[in-house]
Amino acid sequence: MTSIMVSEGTGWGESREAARTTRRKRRRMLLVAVAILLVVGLPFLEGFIDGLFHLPRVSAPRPLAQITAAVILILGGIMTWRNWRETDEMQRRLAIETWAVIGLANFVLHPVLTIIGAQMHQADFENSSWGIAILIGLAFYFVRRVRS
Amino acid sequence: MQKEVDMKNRLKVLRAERNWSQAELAGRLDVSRQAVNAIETGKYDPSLPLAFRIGRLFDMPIEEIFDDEHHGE
Repeated sequence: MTSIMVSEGTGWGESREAARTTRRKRRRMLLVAVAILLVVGLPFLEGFIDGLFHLPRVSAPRPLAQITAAVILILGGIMTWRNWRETDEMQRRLAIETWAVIGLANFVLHPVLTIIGAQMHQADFENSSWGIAILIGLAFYFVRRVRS
Repeated sequence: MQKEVDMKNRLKVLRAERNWSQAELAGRLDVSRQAVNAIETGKYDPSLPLAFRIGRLFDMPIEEIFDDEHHGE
């Protein structure tokens, strides 16, 4: 439950909004830093360890790659949860609508692309439906953000 | 059959009377500046809890701030 304090001096809303923006910027910077560390740092570390012990390069999943994937998933979940708490009701509704657009687009695209793929004799053509659906969802999100 | 009702509001006027920027009002309501802009331009209708917060902030009943076009029909 949120309570409103109206007795504070003029400008407290501005400082609150500024603090909110600062928190958001800090969170984004942290996310970028962690993403770079995971995507660039861990494979580099893995290659370095392999080189140090003269291990042959293998294409099978290594424990480090699996741990990286798990860490990315956990961090993604934490960031999503934190963002959900930070955002207001309008942004939450837009997020829900965007997920709905992605789901609906994939729901329609998957069978359509399956039929087209079968006609064109292309295997796994329908697998691109998720990618297209995400692009449609992102387009929807940015159009709505610009309009608001 | 239900008719879609267009909501009008006096948020922009009330904000201007107090010389508040959208960011100032957003901070006081604990929402984003985009949300304030969307409410003012009628692109987003606030939830009932947010409408009550707006009413409390301006010390006015909700119906004096928000009005539907079919009011009084």
